[in-house]
Amino acid sequence: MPGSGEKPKRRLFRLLRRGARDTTAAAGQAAAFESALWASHQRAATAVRETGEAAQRIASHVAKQRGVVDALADRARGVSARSTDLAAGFARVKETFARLELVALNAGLEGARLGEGPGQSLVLVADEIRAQATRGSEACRELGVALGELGSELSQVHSSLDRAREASAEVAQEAARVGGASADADRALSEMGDRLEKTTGSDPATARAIADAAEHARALVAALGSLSGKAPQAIVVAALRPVLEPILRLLEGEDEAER
Amino acid sequence: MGDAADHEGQPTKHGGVVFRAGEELFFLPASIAMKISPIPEMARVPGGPLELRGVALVGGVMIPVVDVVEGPDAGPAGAMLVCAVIGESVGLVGIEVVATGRFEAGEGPGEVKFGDETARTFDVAAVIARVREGRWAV
Repeated sequence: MPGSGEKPKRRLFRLLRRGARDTTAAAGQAAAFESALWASHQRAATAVRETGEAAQRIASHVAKQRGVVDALADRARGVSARSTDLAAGFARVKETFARLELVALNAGLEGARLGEGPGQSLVLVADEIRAQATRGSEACRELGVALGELGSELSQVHSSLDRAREASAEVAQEAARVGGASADADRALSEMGDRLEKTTGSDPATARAIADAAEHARALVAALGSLSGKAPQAIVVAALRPVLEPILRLLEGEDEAER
Repeated sequence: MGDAADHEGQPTKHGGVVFRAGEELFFLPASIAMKISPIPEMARVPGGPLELRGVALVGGVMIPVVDVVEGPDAGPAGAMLVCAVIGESVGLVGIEVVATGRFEAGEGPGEVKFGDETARTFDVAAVIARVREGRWAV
Protein backbone atom coordinates (compact mmCIF):
# COMPACT_ATOMS: atom_id res chain seq x y z
CA MET A 1 0.00 0.00 0.00
CA PRO A 2 1.50 3.38 -0.95
CA GLY A 3 2.63 5.34 2.02
CA SER A 4 1.50 2.73 4.53
CA GLY A 5 4.72 3.17 6.49
CA GLU A 6 4.76 6.96 6.10
CA LYS A 7 3.90 9.47 8.77
CA PRO A 8 0.51 11.14 8.06
CA LYS A 9 2.08 14.63 7.76
CA ARG A 10 4.60 13.43 5.21
CA ARG A 11 1.87 11.62 3.27
CA LEU A 12 -0.23 14.80 3.29
CA PHE A 13 2.57 16.87 1.86
CA ARG A 14 3.26 14.24 -0.80
CA LEU A 15 -0.37 14.39 -1.88
CA LEU A 16 -0.32 18.19 -1.78
CA ARG A 17 2.72 18.17 -4.00
CA ARG A 18 1.01 15.82 -6.39
CA GLY A 19 -1.93 18.23 -6.47
CA ALA A 20 0.45 21.17 -7.00
CA ARG A 21 2.08 19.47 -9.98
CA ASP A 22 -1.15 18.49 -11.57
CA THR A 23 -3.01 21.70 -12.04
CA THR A 24 -5.70 20.53 -14.41
CA ALA A 25 -9.34 20.93 -13.45
CA ALA A 26 -9.93 17.18 -13.84
CA ALA A 27 -7.28 16.43 -11.25
CA GLY A 28 -8.90 18.91 -8.84
CA GLN A 29 -12.24 17.32 -9.39
CA ALA A 30 -10.78 13.87 -8.82
CA ALA A 31 -9.28 14.97 -5.54
CA ALA A 32 -12.60 16.43 -4.42
CA PHE A 33 -14.35 13.26 -5.52
CA GLU A 34 -11.82 11.15 -3.63
CA SER A 35 -12.35 13.19 -0.50
CA ALA A 36 -16.15 12.95 -0.85
CA LEU A 37 -15.84 9.22 -1.47
CA TRP A 38 -13.87 8.72 1.74
CA ALA A 39 -16.36 10.87 3.63
CA SER A 40 -19.23 8.77 2.29
CA HIS A 41 -17.33 5.61 3.18
CA GLN A 42 -16.82 6.86 6.68
CA ARG A 43 -20.51 7.77 7.05
CA ALA A 44 -21.58 4.39 5.71
CA ALA A 45 -19.18 2.60 8.07
CA THR A 46 -20.52 4.58 11.02
CA ALA A 47 -24.13 3.91 10.01
CA VAL A 48 -23.46 0.20 9.58
CA ARG A 49 -21.74 -0.01 12.96
CA GLU A 50 -24.60 1.82 14.64
CA THR A 51 -27.12 -0.43 12.88
CA GLY A 52 -25.33 -3.53 14.15
CA GLU A 53 -25.24 -2.15 17.68
CA ALA A 54 -28.93 -1.21 17.48
CA ALA A 55 -29.77 -4.71 16.25
CA GLN A 56 -27.91 -6.16 19.24
CA ARG A 57 -29.75 -3.84 21.61
CA ILE A 58 -33.11 -4.76 20.02
CA ALA A 59 -32.31 -8.46 20.37
CA SER A 60 -31.40 -7.91 24.03
CA HIS A 61 -34.62 -5.95 24.71
CA VAL A 62 -36.70 -8.56 22.91
CA ALA A 63 -35.13 -11.31 25.00
CA LYS A 64 -36.06 -9.37 28.15
CA GLN A 65 -39.57 -8.78 26.79
CA ARG A 66 -39.99 -12.49 26.09
CA GLY A 67 -38.97 -13.23 29.65
CA VAL A 68 -41.62 -10.81 30.92
CA VAL A 69 -44.25 -12.28 28.57
CA ASP A 70 -43.41 -15.81 29.74
CA ALA A 71 -43.70 -14.73 33.38
CA LEU A 72 -47.06 -13.09 32.60
CA ALA A 73 -48.26 -16.25 30.85
CA ASP A 74 -47.29 -18.30 33.92
CA ARG A 75 -49.21 -15.92 36.16
CA ALA A 76 -52.22 -15.97 33.85
CA ARG A 77 -52.16 -19.79 33.95
CA GLY A 78 -52.04 -19.65 37.75
CA VAL A 79 -54.98 -17.24 37.87
CA SER A 80 -56.86 -19.41 35.38
CA ALA A 81 -56.35 -22.51 37.54
CA ARG A 82 -57.40 -20.54 40.64
CA SER A 83 -60.48 -19.34 38.76
CA THR A 84 -61.43 -22.95 37.97
CA ASP A 85 -61.05 -23.87 41.65
CA LEU A 86 -63.20 -20.90 42.60
CA ALA A 87 -65.87 -21.90 40.10
CA ALA A 88 -66.04 -25.36 41.67
CA GLY A 89 -66.25 -23.75 45.13
CA PHE A 90 -69.06 -21.49 43.99
CA ALA A 91 -70.93 -24.43 42.55
CA ARG A 92 -70.77 -26.12 45.97
CA VAL A 93 -71.90 -22.96 47.78
CA LYS A 94 -74.77 -22.55 45.31
CA GLU A 95 -75.83 -26.15 45.85
CA THR A 96 -75.69 -25.62 49.61
CA PHE A 97 -77.95 -22.57 49.35
CA ALA A 98 -80.35 -24.55 47.16
CA ARG A 99 -80.48 -27.29 49.81
CA LEU A 100 -80.97 -24.69 52.52
CA GLU A 101 -83.85 -23.27 50.51
CA LEU A 102 -85.44 -26.72 50.37
CA VAL A 103 -84.94 -27.13 54.12
CA ALA A 104 -86.64 -23.77 54.67
CA LEU A 105 -89.52 -24.78 52.37
CA ASN A 106 -89.97 -28.05 54.26
CA ALA A 107 -89.84 -26.21 57.57
CA GLY A 108 -92.54 -23.86 56.26
CA LEU A 109 -94.61 -26.84 55.15
CA GLU A 110 -94.19 -28.41 58.58
CA GLY A 111 -95.19 -25.15 60.22
CA ALA A 112 -98.28 -25.02 58.01
CA ARG A 113 -99.14 -28.56 59.03
CA LEU A 114 -98.84 -27.67 62.71
CA GLY A 115 -101.47 -25.00 62.33
CA GLU A 116 -101.89 -21.29 63.01
CA GLY A 117 -100.71 -21.21 66.62
CA PRO A 118 -97.81 -23.59 67.11
CA GLY A 119 -96.61 -23.55 63.53
CA GLN A 120 -96.57 -19.78 63.04
CA SER A 121 -93.09 -19.18 64.44
CA LEU A 122 -91.70 -22.07 62.41
CA VAL A 123 -93.24 -20.60 59.26
CA LEU A 124 -91.76 -17.18 60.01
CA VAL A 125 -88.28 -18.59 60.63
CA ALA A 126 -88.56 -20.74 57.52
CA ASP A 127 -89.57 -17.71 55.43
CA GLU A 128 -86.61 -15.71 56.71
CA ILE A 129 -84.16 -18.55 56.12
CA ARG A 130 -85.53 -19.05 52.64
CA ALA A 131 -85.24 -15.34 51.86
CA GLN A 132 -81.60 -15.34 52.99
CA ALA A 133 -80.87 -18.55 51.09
CA THR A 134 -82.41 -17.04 47.97
CA ARG A 135 -80.24 -13.95 48.37
CA GLY A 136 -77.20 -16.17 48.81
CA SER A 137 -78.12 -18.17 45.72
CA GLU A 138 -78.55 -14.97 43.72
CA ALA A 139 -75.20 -13.63 44.93
CA CYS A 140 -73.58 -16.95 43.99
CA ARG A 141 -75.16 -16.80 40.56
CA GLU A 142 -73.84 -13.25 40.01
CA LEU A 143 -70.39 -14.24 41.23
CA GLY A 144 -70.50 -17.27 38.96
CA VAL A 145 -71.30 -15.02 36.00
CA ALA A 146 -68.48 -12.65 36.97
CA LEU A 147 -66.15 -15.61 37.30
CA GLY A 148 -67.18 -16.84 33.86
CA GLU A 149 -66.43 -13.41 32.41
CA LEU A 150 -63.09 -13.44 34.21
CA GLY A 151 -62.35 -16.82 32.62
CA SER A 152 -63.24 -15.43 29.22
CA GLU A 153 -60.98 -12.42 29.81
CA LEU A 154 -58.21 -14.74 30.92
CA SER A 155 -58.48 -16.80 27.76
CA GLN A 156 -58.20 -13.56 25.77
CA VAL A 157 -55.14 -12.62 27.83
CA HIS A 158 -53.69 -16.05 27.00
CA SER A 159 -54.22 -15.57 23.29
CA SER A 160 -52.83 -12.01 23.46
CA LEU A 161 -49.75 -13.28 25.27
CA ASP A 162 -49.31 -16.00 22.66
CA ARG A 163 -49.50 -13.38 19.94
CA ALA A 164 -47.01 -11.17 21.85
CA ARG A 165 -44.66 -14.16 22.14
CA GLU A 166 -44.92 -14.86 18.42
CA ALA A 167 -44.33 -11.18 17.64
CA SER A 168 -41.28 -11.17 19.95
CA ALA A 169 -39.89 -14.23 18.23
CA GLU A 170 -40.36 -12.58 14.84
CA VAL A 171 -38.70 -9.36 16.04
CA ALA A 172 -35.80 -11.39 17.46
CA GLN A 173 -35.40 -13.16 14.10
CA GLU A 174 -35.54 -9.86 12.25
CA ALA A 175 -33.01 -8.33 14.65
CA ALA A 176 -30.71 -11.30 14.05
CA ARG A 177 -31.12 -10.84 10.29
CA VAL A 178 -30.37 -7.11 10.60
CA GLY A 179 -27.32 -7.93 12.74
CA GLY A 180 -26.08 -10.42 10.14
CA ALA A 181 -26.70 -8.01 7.29
CA SER A 182 -24.93 -5.28 9.23
CA ALA A 183 -21.91 -7.53 9.78
CA ASP A 184 -21.88 -8.36 6.04
CA ALA A 185 -22.14 -4.66 5.18
CA ASP A 186 -19.32 -3.88 7.62
CA ARG A 187 -17.07 -6.49 5.99
CA ALA A 188 -17.99 -5.22 2.51
CA LEU A 189 -17.26 -1.64 3.53
CA SER A 190 -13.94 -2.69 5.01
CA GLU A 191 -13.00 -4.41 1.75
CA MET A 192 -14.20 -1.37 -0.16
CA GLY A 193 -12.02 0.83 2.04
CA ASP A 194 -8.98 -1.37 1.38
CA ARG A 195 -9.60 -1.29 -2.38
CA LEU A 196 -10.20 2.47 -2.28
CA GLU A 197 -6.97 2.94 -0.39
CA LYS A 198 -5.10 0.83 -2.94
CA THR A 199 -6.73 2.61 -5.87
CA THR A 200 -6.38 6.21 -4.67
CA GLY A 201 -3.27 5.87 -2.56
CA SER A 202 -4.94 7.79 0.23
CA ASP A 203 -6.69 6.85 3.40
CA PRO A 204 -9.49 8.38 5.43
CA ALA A 205 -7.18 10.31 7.76
CA THR A 206 -5.21 11.79 4.87
CA ALA A 207 -8.36 12.66 2.95
CA ARG A 208 -9.72 14.39 6.01
CA ALA A 209 -6.43 16.27 6.50
CA ILE A 210 -6.47 17.37 2.85
CA ALA A 211 -10.04 18.57 3.20
CA ASP A 212 -9.06 20.50 6.34
CA ALA A 213 -5.98 21.96 4.62
CA ALA A 214 -8.07 22.98 1.61
CA GLU A 215 -10.54 24.64 3.92
CA HIS A 216 -7.76 26.56 5.64
CA ALA A 217 -6.26 27.51 2.28
CA ARG A 218 -9.58 28.86 1.10
CA ALA A 219 -9.85 30.85 4.30
CA LEU A 220 -6.32 32.21 3.76
CA VAL A 221 -7.15 33.23 0.18
CA ALA A 222 -10.32 34.92 1.37
CA ALA A 223 -8.39 36.78 4.06
CA LEU A 224 -5.80 37.90 1.54
CA GLY A 225 -8.56 39.10 -0.75
CA SER A 226 -10.01 41.24 2.00
CA LEU A 227 -6.56 42.75 2.68
CA SER A 228 -6.03 43.61 -0.98
CA GLY A 229 -5.89 47.36 -1.48
CA LYS A 230 -6.37 48.15 2.17
CA ALA A 231 -2.87 47.57 3.49
CA PRO A 232 0.48 48.30 1.80
CA GLN A 233 1.70 45.18 0.03
CA ALA A 234 5.11 45.40 1.72
CA ILE A 235 3.54 45.10 5.15
CA VAL A 236 1.34 42.20 4.07
CA VAL A 237 4.25 40.33 2.49
CA ALA A 238 6.39 40.98 5.55
CA ALA A 239 3.68 39.60 7.77
CA LEU A 240 2.92 36.52 5.65
CA ARG A 241 6.44 35.58 4.55
CA PRO A 242 7.41 33.72 7.76
CA VAL A 243 4.27 31.59 7.43
CA LEU A 244 4.17 30.99 3.69
CA GLU A 245 7.87 30.50 2.98
CA PRO A 246 8.24 27.16 4.79
CA ILE A 247 5.25 25.83 2.89
CA LEU A 248 6.55 27.03 -0.45
CA ARG A 249 9.99 25.65 0.33
CA LEU A 250 8.50 22.40 1.31
CA LEU A 251 6.38 22.10 -1.85
CA GLU A 252 9.08 23.26 -4.26
CA GLY A 253 12.02 21.64 -2.49
CA GLU A 254 10.41 18.20 -2.39
CA ASP A 255 9.59 18.55 -6.07
CA GLU A 256 13.21 19.27 -6.88
CA ALA A 257 14.36 16.42 -4.70
CA GLU A 258 12.04 14.10 -6.54
CA ARG A 259 13.37 15.32 -9.83
CA MET B 1 -114.20 -22.25 51.65
CA GLY B 2 -116.47 -20.02 49.69
CA ASP B 3 -116.49 -17.43 52.45
CA ALA B 4 -112.90 -16.37 53.00
CA ALA B 5 -113.32 -15.39 56.67
CA ASP B 6 -113.96 -17.35 59.82
CA HIS B 7 -116.52 -16.49 62.52
CA GLU B 8 -114.14 -13.97 64.28
CA GLY B 9 -113.72 -11.88 61.12
CA GLN B 10 -110.16 -13.07 60.54
CA PRO B 11 -109.45 -14.33 57.02
CA THR B 12 -109.37 -18.09 56.69
CA LYS B 13 -105.92 -19.48 56.01
CA HIS B 14 -104.82 -22.74 54.52
CA GLY B 15 -101.44 -24.27 55.19
CA GLY B 16 -99.60 -25.85 52.34
CA VAL B 17 -97.37 -25.19 49.38
CA VAL B 18 -97.78 -22.86 46.42
CA PHE B 19 -95.99 -23.81 43.23
CA ARG B 20 -95.88 -22.81 39.62
CA ALA B 21 -96.38 -25.30 36.80
CA GLY B 22 -95.94 -23.69 33.42
CA GLU B 23 -97.70 -20.34 33.62
CA GLU B 24 -100.22 -21.42 36.28
CA LEU B 25 -100.01 -21.09 40.04
CA PHE B 26 -101.20 -24.06 42.12
CA PHE B 27 -101.73 -24.81 45.78
CA LEU B 28 -101.50 -28.10 47.64
CA PRO B 29 -102.58 -28.35 51.27
CA ALA B 30 -100.08 -29.54 53.87
CA SER B 31 -102.17 -32.67 54.36
CA ILE B 32 -101.27 -33.77 50.81
CA ALA B 33 -97.89 -32.12 50.26
CA MET B 34 -95.50 -34.20 52.32
CA LYS B 35 -92.10 -32.74 51.60
CA ILE B 36 -89.94 -31.01 49.08
CA SER B 37 -86.72 -32.71 48.08
CA PRO B 38 -84.08 -32.43 45.40
CA ILE B 39 -84.93 -34.35 42.24
CA PRO B 40 -83.67 -37.88 42.87
CA GLU B 41 -82.18 -40.32 40.40
CA MET B 42 -84.97 -42.09 38.56
CA ALA B 43 -85.44 -45.32 36.72
CA ARG B 44 -87.36 -44.97 33.47
CA VAL B 45 -90.42 -47.16 33.07
CA PRO B 46 -90.62 -48.66 29.57
CA GLY B 47 -93.99 -48.13 27.95
CA GLY B 48 -95.07 -45.66 30.60
CA PRO B 49 -97.08 -42.53 29.78
CA LEU B 50 -95.23 -39.48 28.62
CA GLU B 51 -95.65 -37.56 31.87
CA LEU B 52 -94.25 -40.40 33.96
CA ARG B 53 -90.59 -39.53 34.32
CA GLY B 54 -89.85 -42.77 36.11
CA VAL B 55 -89.77 -44.27 39.56
CA ALA B 56 -87.53 -43.14 42.39
CA LEU B 57 -86.62 -44.33 45.85
CA VAL B 58 -87.79 -41.72 48.35
CA GLY B 59 -87.52 -42.43 52.06
CA GLY B 60 -87.18 -46.14 51.42
CA VAL B 61 -90.32 -46.28 49.29
CA MET B 62 -90.44 -46.55 45.49
CA ILE B 63 -92.77 -43.86 44.16
CA PRO B 64 -93.73 -42.77 40.64
CA VAL B 65 -92.41 -39.38 39.59
CA VAL B 66 -94.67 -37.37 37.29
CA ASP B 67 -93.76 -34.35 35.19
CA VAL B 68 -96.54 -31.84 35.71
CA VAL B 69 -95.71 -29.77 32.64
CA GLU B 70 -96.53 -31.79 29.55
CA GLY B 71 -94.83 -31.56 26.22
CA PRO B 72 -91.26 -31.29 25.04
CA ASP B 73 -90.66 -28.06 27.01
CA ALA B 74 -91.05 -29.89 30.28
CA GLY B 75 -87.67 -29.86 31.92
CA PRO B 76 -86.36 -30.78 35.31
CA ALA B 77 -86.88 -27.98 37.80
CA GLY B 78 -84.93 -27.72 41.00
CA ALA B 79 -87.16 -29.68 43.33
CA MET B 80 -89.60 -32.53 43.63
CA LEU B 81 -92.79 -32.21 45.63
CA VAL B 82 -93.75 -35.47 47.29
CA CYS B 83 -97.50 -35.82 47.73
CA ALA B 84 -99.59 -38.49 49.39
CA VAL B 85 -103.24 -39.14 48.49
CA ILE B 86 -105.19 -41.95 50.10
CA GLY B 87 -102.10 -43.85 51.00
CA GLU B 88 -100.39 -43.44 47.65
CA SER B 89 -97.35 -41.28 47.15
CA VAL B 90 -96.31 -39.53 43.99
CA GLY B 91 -93.49 -37.13 43.22
CA LEU B 92 -94.21 -34.03 41.16
CA VAL B 93 -91.42 -32.51 39.09
CA GLY B 94 -91.33 -29.80 36.44
CA ILE B 95 -92.62 -27.36 39.01
CA GLU B 96 -91.19 -24.32 40.72
CA VAL B 97 -92.01 -24.24 44.42
CA VAL B 98 -92.85 -20.63 45.19
CA ALA B 99 -93.69 -20.69 48.90
CA THR B 100 -94.75 -22.77 51.84
CA GLY B 101 -96.73 -21.70 54.90
CA ARG B 102 -100.23 -20.50 55.53
CA PHE B 103 -102.06 -18.63 52.78
CA GLU B 104 -105.25 -16.62 52.83
CA ALA B 105 -108.18 -18.39 51.23
CA GLY B 106 -109.25 -17.14 47.82
CA GLU B 107 -112.69 -16.46 46.41
CA GLY B 108 -113.25 -19.85 44.79
CA PRO B 109 -113.30 -23.21 46.50
CA GLY B 110 -109.83 -24.61 47.13
CA GLU B 111 -108.16 -21.37 46.07
CA VAL B 112 -105.60 -19.38 48.03
CA LYS B 113 -104.23 -15.92 47.49
CA PHE B 114 -100.57 -15.44 46.87
CA GLY B 115 -99.65 -11.79 46.45
CA ASP B 116 -101.76 -10.47 43.60
CA GLU B 117 -102.31 -13.94 42.20
CA THR B 118 -104.69 -16.72 43.05
CA ALA B 119 -103.54 -20.32 43.22
CA ARG B 120 -106.04 -23.08 42.65
CA THR B 121 -105.74 -26.46 44.22
CA PHE B 122 -103.76 -28.94 42.22
CA ASP B 123 -105.58 -32.17 41.50
CA VAL B 124 -103.08 -34.83 42.51
CA ALA B 125 -105.68 -37.58 42.37
CA ALA B 126 -106.26 -36.81 38.70
CA VAL B 127 -102.56 -37.05 38.00
CA ILE B 128 -102.36 -40.40 39.74
CA ALA B 129 -105.40 -41.61 37.87
CA ARG B 130 -103.96 -40.48 34.55
CA VAL B 131 -100.74 -42.28 35.20
CA ARG B 132 -102.60 -45.39 36.25
CA GLU B 133 -104.76 -45.37 33.15
CA GLY B 134 -101.76 -45.63 30.93
CA ARG B 135 -101.22 -48.80 28.93
CA TRP B 136 -98.24 -49.72 31.08
CA ALA B 137 -100.44 -50.24 34.12
CA VAL B 138 -101.67 -53.75 34.96
